[in-house]
Parts: sequence; C-alpha cells; structure tokens
Amino acid sequence: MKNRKIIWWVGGFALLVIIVVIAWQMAIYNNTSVQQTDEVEQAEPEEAEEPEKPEESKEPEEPVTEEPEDAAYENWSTFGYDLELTRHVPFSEITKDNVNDLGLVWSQKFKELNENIPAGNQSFPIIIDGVLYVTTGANYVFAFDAVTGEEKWRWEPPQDLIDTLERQSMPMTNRGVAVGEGKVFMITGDIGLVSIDQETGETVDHILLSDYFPTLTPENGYYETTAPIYYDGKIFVGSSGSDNGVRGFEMAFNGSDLTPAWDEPFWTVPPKGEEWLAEGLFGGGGAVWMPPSVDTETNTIYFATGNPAPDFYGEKRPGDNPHTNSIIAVEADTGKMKWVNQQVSHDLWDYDSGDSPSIFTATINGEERRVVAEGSKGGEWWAWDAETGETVYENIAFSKIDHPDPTEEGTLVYPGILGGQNYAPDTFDPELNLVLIPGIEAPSIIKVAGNEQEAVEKNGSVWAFGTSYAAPADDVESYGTVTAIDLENGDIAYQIKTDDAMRGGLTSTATGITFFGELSGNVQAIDTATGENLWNFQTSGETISAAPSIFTKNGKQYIAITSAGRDPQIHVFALGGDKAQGE
Amino acid sequence: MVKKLLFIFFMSMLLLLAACKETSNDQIENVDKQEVGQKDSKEEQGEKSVVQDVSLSLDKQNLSVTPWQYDHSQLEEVKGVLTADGKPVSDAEIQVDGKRVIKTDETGSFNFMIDRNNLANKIVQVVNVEDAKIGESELSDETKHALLSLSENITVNYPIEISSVKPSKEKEDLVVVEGKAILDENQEYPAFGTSKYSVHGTIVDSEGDPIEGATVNLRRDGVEGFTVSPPSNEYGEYQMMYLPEDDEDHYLNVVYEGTTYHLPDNKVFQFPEDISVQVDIQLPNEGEVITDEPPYLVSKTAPGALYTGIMIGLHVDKGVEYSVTIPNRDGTFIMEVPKSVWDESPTFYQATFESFLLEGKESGDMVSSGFLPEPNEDEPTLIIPSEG
Repeated sequence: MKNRKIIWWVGGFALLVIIVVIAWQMAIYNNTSVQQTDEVEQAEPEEAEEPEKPEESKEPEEPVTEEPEDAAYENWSTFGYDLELTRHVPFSEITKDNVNDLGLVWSQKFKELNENIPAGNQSFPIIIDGVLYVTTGANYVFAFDAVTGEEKWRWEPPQDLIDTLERQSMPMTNRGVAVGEGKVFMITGDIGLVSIDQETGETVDHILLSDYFPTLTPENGYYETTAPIYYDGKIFVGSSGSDNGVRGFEMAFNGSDLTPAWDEPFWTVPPKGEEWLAEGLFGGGGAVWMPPSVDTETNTIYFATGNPAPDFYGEKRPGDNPHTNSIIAVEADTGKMKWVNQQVSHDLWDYDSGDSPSIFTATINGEERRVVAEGSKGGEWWAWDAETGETVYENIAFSKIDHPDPTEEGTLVYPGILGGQNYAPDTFDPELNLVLIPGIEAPSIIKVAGNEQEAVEKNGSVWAFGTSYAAPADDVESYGTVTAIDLENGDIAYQIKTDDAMRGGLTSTATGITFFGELSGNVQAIDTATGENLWNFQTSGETISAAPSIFTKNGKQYIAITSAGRDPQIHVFALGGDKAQGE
Repeated sequence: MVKKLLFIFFMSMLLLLAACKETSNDQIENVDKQEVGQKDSKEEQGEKSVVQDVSLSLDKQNLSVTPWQYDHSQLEEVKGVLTADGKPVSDAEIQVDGKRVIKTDETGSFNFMIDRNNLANKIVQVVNVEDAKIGESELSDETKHALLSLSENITVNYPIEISSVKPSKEKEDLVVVEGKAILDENQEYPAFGTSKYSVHGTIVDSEGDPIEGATVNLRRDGVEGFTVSPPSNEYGEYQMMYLPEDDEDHYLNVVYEGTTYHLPDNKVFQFPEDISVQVDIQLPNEGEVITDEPPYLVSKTAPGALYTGIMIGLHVDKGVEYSVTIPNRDGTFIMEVPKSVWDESPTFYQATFESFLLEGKESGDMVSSGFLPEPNEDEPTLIIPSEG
C-alpha cells in the first residue's frame, strides 16, 4: 500500500513537472516566434489565420443559406486568373440556361469612400479567400469582403505620391495589384513599388525604382499604369513611357523586401547613342506597360513591348527598331532572354504590342501544342511555340487594316492609335479551342506636317509662337468587335460587332459563356462558341475599361468588374442578385 | 520498485533540465539574431574552427564594353567563390552593387550577371554571414568579422590605347597624346549629340513676382506623351527637356500648391520642331486659366539643347587643366596635357555626359577638362592605358 502511495506521489509530481516545463517552453517559443515574425516575415501568421471568417454570414442580397464554418473558396488570384493569363475559369454554376438570373449583389462608388479619388478606372480585381482587392486611379487600394462589399481596409497614397502624380497631369491610371507572401503589391505612379500587409492594409515596404536604377524617374518620361505579377518570390515590374522616348524595361524585385531579384533590368532597346538610336538620340521606347505572363512549366516569363519613339516620325530611327512592338521570352530567375518575335517593325502608327501575351495548350492541326498568343494594336494576331518561339500563326487580321500615304489634309488610317487590340485582354477556352479577341474599330486621321517655316527657325533666328485651336476630334464611326479564332487552323470562327470600342476585355467560363463590359456601362454575356448574346445588364457605371474577374465562395459563383468614367465603381454579380438596372 | 521509480524520476528531471537549458540558449540566440553571434554559447566555440585566411574571388574583374546585342548576350555571367583557409563558405550572402543579394552554395560559389553594354564600377561584398558554414561547422565570431570585411570590384570600361605622345607645336610645356578607346570589330563608340531640346522660362504671379515650387507639364493630345519639369527655383525659373515630334497639339499646365492652371478651353501649343523654346508664364489672380497672349504668355525659340555622350578624362590633381576631344565614333581622341602631368602616368576615367549646352558640340570637338563630367561612383576609374 505504502509503495503504491509513493508511486502515485512520485508519478504525479513527475507529471506536474513535465506539464510546467512544456508550458514554459511553449511560452518561450511563442514569444520568440512573435519576435521573429516582426523582424523577418510578417506574412505567415496572418495567412494561417485566413480560414476563420466568423462574420461572413450576413449577405443581405442573397438567399440565406447555412454556411459551414470554414468556407470554401475558388480564387481569382492573379491579374489574368492564372499566371498564364488565360482568363478561363473552371466554374460551372452559371450556365447558358440560368445566366438571366444574374443580378447585382453589391456595388460601391469609389468617390463615396474618398472624394479625392480621380475619375476613370482600369483596375482588374483580385479575389483571394473571399477578399476582393481593387485599386483606383492615383493608387488607392481597397480590400472588400468579396460577397458583401464590406470594406476591410484601405491604403491611401501618401502625399508625395499624389504630388508626383499631379505634376504629370496624366490620367492617374492603375490596373491592379498582385498578392503573395501575405502582402498586396502595387506599382505606384512615382515609379515605385509598394507592399501592403494583406490583413491590415499597413505599408510594409515602399521603394522608388530609382533607388536602385537612377534613370527610372518621371522627369525622364517614365510613368506607371500596369499591375505587377507575383511569381516564385518575385514581383515583375515594367512601366509606360514609350511615347516619351524612355528606354523600356522589365525588372524583377524580391517580394520579401523589394530588393532587386535580377542583377540588371531587361532593357528592351539599346542605350541612346548606339545601334538604331545612334542618330536619333531622343528616341527609344519599347516600354513594357502590361503585366507579363508566366509559364510555370518552363519558368519563363513573356511580355509585350510598346512602340519605338518618336512614335510617328521614323527617319532618325532607321531599320526595324528590334524588340519594339515585340513579344519577348525571358528566364524568370535571371532575366536572360530566350527568344523574341516582333509584330510591327519600324512602326509609324503607334501599334504597340500592348496586351499581355497569354500562354495555353491548344489543339493545332490535330496535335496538342503549348503556344504563346498575342493580338496587337495593329489589328493582327500571332501564336508561337512557347518553348522555341517558332511561329505557329502570323498576321491573322481581325481589324480593318489600311495605311494610305499621309496628306496635308489628312487620311484615315486603320486601325487608329487605340488599336486593334489595346490592353484589353483576350480569353482562351480550351474545350472549344477558341481564343476570343476584343477589338477596336476606330481609325485615326494622320496628317503630314506641312510646316515650311521650320527651315527659317533652324537658321537660328528667334521666332515667337503661341497657341492655336486644337484640331477637331476625329469625327469617324467607331465600334468594337469580338473575334473568335480557331486554334486548330488559325481561321476566324466568327466575328461579332459591339456597340462600343472594346476597352475592357474578356473572361470565359467552363460553361461556354464569355463576359465583358462596354463603354456604355453595359455588362454582357455571349456564347463563347457562337458570339450570340445571352445576357445584358446596364450598370450604374460607365466607360468599363477592365475585364471581369470570376470567383466562388461555397460553390456560388460571383463576377466582379470595375467601371470608370466620372463616377468610378465596382460591381459584383451572382445568380439571384438584384435585377434593378442603371440608367 | 520504489528505488527504480525514483531513479527514473531523477534521470528524467535531469534530462528535462538539460533540454530546457539548451532550448533557452537557442531562444536567446534566435531573439538576438541581428547581433552577430554575440550570444553564441561559449561551449560551442570550442568546436568552431579558427580561421587564418578568408578570400572572396571573382573569375573576371575587368571587362570591356561590348556593343548592344539583339540576343542580349551583352549580359555576361560572373562567377565568384568565398573561402576560408581554402575551404568553401556556404550560405553566406553576397551583394552586388548594393542591389541583388546572392547566397553562396555548398562549394562557396555564387554567380551574377553584368551588363557589358554599360560603363560600370561595381562593388561585390559579403553582407551577411549569420547562417554561413564551413562544411557542417558554424563560424567563429572572428571568422564572421573577417568575412564581412571582404569586397571586390568589377569594372566595365573601354580599354584605352595610347598610339603617340608628341611635344605640342604651340606650347612647349604641353604634350599631344593620341589615343583610342579599343572597340570590337563592328563596334562604334557611342555617338555624342542632341538628346532632347529644352522648354524653359519663368513663372510669375499676377503681381509679377517669381513663384518658387511650381511645376510645368506638357501633354501631347491624343497619345500618352508628357513632359514634366522639376519645381521652379526661387527666381521662378523652370526647365524641362522634351521630345521633338511632328506638328502636334500640346496642352500646357502649371501645377502650384494643389491647383492646376491651364490654357483656355480648346487652346493648345504647337511647338516648333528641333529647337529649344522659352515660355514665360504669368499665372492669373483668379481662376485657373492662363491668358494665352502677352504679357501673360510669351513664347519664343531659344538657343541650346540637351547633349548626351560618353567622355574620356584623366585623373589629375585639382587645378590641373588639360584639353581633350570628344571621342569619334571609331574611338579615337586627342589630348593636350601638361608634360609634367603626363610624365606622372595618370590613369583615365570614363563618364556619361548629359548637360544642357547653349552651343552645340559634336564628336571630334576639343573641350577643356572643366567641361568634362566627374565620374559617378558607378563609372569606371583608374583605367591604365596600354601602348599601341
């Protein structure tokens, strides 16, 4: 008996000591991990907390359903749905049979959140685990509950960023964010890059690209509109500015601390004074003003380059002006070039390859091939073998193309300076083997300069000049198109006309539906296979200038799209939503 | 039985206490990670090897400028190795030119790309050895400090060859040096010339007093082109460089204290081509519209332009003057240098020139040393010429 008592005493005490020691160790461990997190990486703990979303049961516009504690999400996690930028979602809740039950779940006027937000919006929303991240002009960022519209946080641009944007008097366009490592990344209008805590909206890091590469400044003609891409720990960044004669570039920064991830930017054109810029020292261009696509199978990024500069005057930039209006394939880890293909050589019409190239596996002449495809502002479409750059299809025209010799009175040039296909992205449906291209049919009037006075000026005498009246706006009919190209043979399967020039872009679903918005503020669904109109919804917005993003929560499918114009907004649709339409 | 249990109990207590001690040391180390090894447990020191000699080496350090290549082969791979007593140091962090940070692998190696198309003078240095190891062994504080002191330079420049040195015919204390930037076959030395023209002038308020801190911008109608000036100075002077284009409409705006002043509705500038211009602006007392006629808006052509090129200069003592021609496209140049200075075998530098010049210059023109830019820290210096 006595022995047993002792055994219990000893055993009990041993257990107590073990418990105390374990508790003590856990306390130390927790403290340490908090400290390390603060110092090193703020991402992981927040990410780990993601699944708990107890407050998400109030969805006013929807039929109330019992929600499981851990909601299931299918995300639109990067600019073009996937890193390949196919814009094709596998979701099947919305079908051709029920698409007319779509209605508005929530919408938000950005100016109601901050009256300083400028007009216009070209933001492509990203939705991750029920949170929607969207930007506005002048680099405001909002995180909303994606199904209720409740604001979770906002990031407002610091005053010095606003000052820089105002000094340029440019539209303060921004096309969206990238998300990774628990952070939201945005390229800022001061030629900068910011990382924002994904949970709190607090700034983590904010750099100017000129901190590392001193020529990348607004004073040198660079400006920013593009969204970044996050892949494999790196943020991929380009810029606008071809029309100002900048030297175009693409660069990778580390998501962890925004330090350079490549040794040098990938400069798309030679330095001033060399090659085709030897005589035209004020030239340049080849800016990468849309996000790259990524082939994760081969660790390759593909990006499109803009026009050479000067844009309409080519005499002092002889030759093809290589790498402008081109698709360039580059190793994601190093920035080393793999291949390049030029769409328009010695461009005189501002025919950038603007839209991001997309990557997909299609059936071509009966065989599966992985290709990179691009539609250009010049109104033509190409596809190349993704690995080798070998041409699969070339110069397939989807717009009217006509370049008569310019006269002093002016001639109509097709396509106009808007394209063709501008930045508005295409979509690829792998089941139908069709790529759908959003097109613009709006010619420009181009005049040859007839200014004989120049000869006098150049002789050195001082010559006074002043203002004159702006040339009248081009009074020509413009409209849009959606063109479906069959990858099997490169033939145009169909082309439909849309009321307005296509500025937003397309998104398709596994149920054979393609969605897009128009300049009228109308959101439309068409049958991907035929182009037949299936659904229209007039939003309270206007000038839709970005494509829809589609995501699900607990199997329910939602469509988010921004509208621009004087009163920029975001609209989210789902089956069973409010069918009341705007004016 | 009791004895056995007591024995097991005390042994497990001892083990637990030992584990606590070890873990708490680990914790302290983790918490104080930023302080280089200060809290390394003394016991471990014995196992860390004492290192005599540390080394950072690069497989190339002096590269010549190559022409722009369409396949981007001007990006050249540079390999480096970090060792201690001849053994590779792994997991050390190396930074190139204050930019990318690279980790050494198990062989102590690292590599990076250098753009041979640009003049360069880059520092490659060891920046973090916190996780560095020699084989499986951690490093002593002394070794860490020694590694952190390591750095090497890598430069990209035009190698220089001197073909002749002759006494000057005009001044007997000068020598005339004929030299050449060595180029590859089919390579040309960068052109010197006009890169942009200037739009400049003054901004005054309605009383005629200069406005400091205003910026002027030009937007091209129909396309996304623009130019923006830095803020005006205390005299109201602003200047920006712009891209000459065909007969195009430009909108002119002045941004000052949050207000954007602009031309009357539907009015635009059509700037003359290929020439600088002076535009003096008087802002209105009320409203945001700039009256587009004198004296509120005065526009005239002006001399001068922004010039760009790559210059070659000599490292000489302050106060020493010499002359040099702007290199020709074949790389040749001529210098006139005091003989006493040349006899000291001065080294050369190369630097990018970008300045507004009232009077134009071109390749082959002789300029004084005061005209040359100083090399910035990223540009090659101390270039030793060869004799041709």
